[in-house]
Amino acid sequence: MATLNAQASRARGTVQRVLTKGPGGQEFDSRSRFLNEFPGGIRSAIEKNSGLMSRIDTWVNGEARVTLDHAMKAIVEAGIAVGEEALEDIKFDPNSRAWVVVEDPEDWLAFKGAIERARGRMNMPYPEYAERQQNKREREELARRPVDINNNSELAVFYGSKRAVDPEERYAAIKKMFEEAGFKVTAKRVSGRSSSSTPPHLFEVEDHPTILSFELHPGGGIHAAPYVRVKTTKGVVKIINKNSMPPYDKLDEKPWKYIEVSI
Amino acid sequence: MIADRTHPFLLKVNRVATGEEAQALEAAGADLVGFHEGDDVLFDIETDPFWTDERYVYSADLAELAAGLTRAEAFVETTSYGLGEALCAKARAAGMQRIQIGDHLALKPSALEACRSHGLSLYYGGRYITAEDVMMAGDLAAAEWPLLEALDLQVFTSTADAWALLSSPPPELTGDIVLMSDLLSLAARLPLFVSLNLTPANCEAVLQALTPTPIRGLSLTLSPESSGACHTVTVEHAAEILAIAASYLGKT
Repeated sequence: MATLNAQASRARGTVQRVLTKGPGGQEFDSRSRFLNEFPGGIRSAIEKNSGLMSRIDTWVNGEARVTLDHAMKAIVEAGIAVGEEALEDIKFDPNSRAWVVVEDPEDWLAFKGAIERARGRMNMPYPEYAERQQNKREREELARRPVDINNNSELAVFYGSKRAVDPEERYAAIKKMFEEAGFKVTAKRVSGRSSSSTPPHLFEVEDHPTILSFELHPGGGIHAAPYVRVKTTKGVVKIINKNSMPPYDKLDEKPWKYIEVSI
Repeated sequence: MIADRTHPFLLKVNRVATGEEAQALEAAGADLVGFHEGDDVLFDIETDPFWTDERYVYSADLAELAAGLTRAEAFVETTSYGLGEALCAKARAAGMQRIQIGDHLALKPSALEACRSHGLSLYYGGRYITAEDVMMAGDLAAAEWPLLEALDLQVFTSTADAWALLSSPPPELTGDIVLMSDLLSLAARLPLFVSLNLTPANCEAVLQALTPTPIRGLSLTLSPESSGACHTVTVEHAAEILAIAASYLGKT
């Protein structure tokens, strides 16, 4: 397996060199150097095809040597690889008109599907498509740290384990959660315009994909009961304790969601 | 700062999906027409898009979508990660001068440079203020907004009747919630569009209250979906609201 991986890696390198250099890219001056550029399975199939081996000798010995790009097309034509799908992780990208290395078969399927659905409006080269897929996966991974806003159980953790919200304790705990996940939070501020003797405490999360800010209210304000308010890109989440006395007064709110804890 | 009350009051529509819609909304009174570029969604790269409706457009279609507009100005909506040289070039080729960013993440220097090189300025959308965000207006005014054309702010998206609370806040709450004066103060410090729960029934009252003020205009977002972070209207309601607003403002 290690040998096959090494061969595949060399083939990738060659394809990338060809793509970088364009049609006049890498040439080969011996049969063995040419064959060494292919993953083991493909190479074995080439070696069993006498007609193709003869052509390879012509290529490597002739004055007009071919690039790997051209050679791969010939290999497909020779029936070793059937169509553009056959060269294991090396595929023909119709948008860049070149062979490309496919790291994730699902990305390739999505790419082909997108081309089909877009009906001529999808001309992004595959390497750019794969990079954007990778960037998207990284954003999604970041967005789930330290909690996934689509998961109510995870969001409920922000309320803590005490019946009322202690802004100092909650700020320290939530700050730690975000910092351990790689995000910064701003300093906590006390709302300067509250009629309550127990004003809310506010802070923001910096550059998180989905979570924007927090309000920690110890209770006694316009909603009467303590709550943790999380502003997300999808809307406001209010985490309240259903055992609070007096109970939380919803006024005319319609947040994205209420999450009730029972403490 | 002295409030600028001399600017025209503009009617801005986000997420227009077809050329025919754009022309119909322009005829109804829209001054600014946005097309929501969704290549990442349509190319199956973004699998958890903000909207699940069918109002995203291909960036390749921008020129065709904007071609039928005669008076209204077209712009393209995108995300911080969709903004780059390729989209800027397509926007300019479509005759656009503005791009709207629909999320809150910091913009890459390369994306801003692409905007500059194509002479594009930015609308900042994707922000909402709730009644309890009493410190947010000040924060928005103090924030840095590179290449700012205007901020498009969703107002009280988590309130059952945003306009009722903004226009007539219960006296017992006025010390604890965002007030109209906060928005006017913000609008005096940076160009501001506001989005409310506009309806044909409240449209004139909203315009009476907001004109003349430093607020640059009203913004509508088209979608059959409801959102916790954005007021939405259907195309039919938008056309009705625009017609009432345009008539009130003397545009038709």
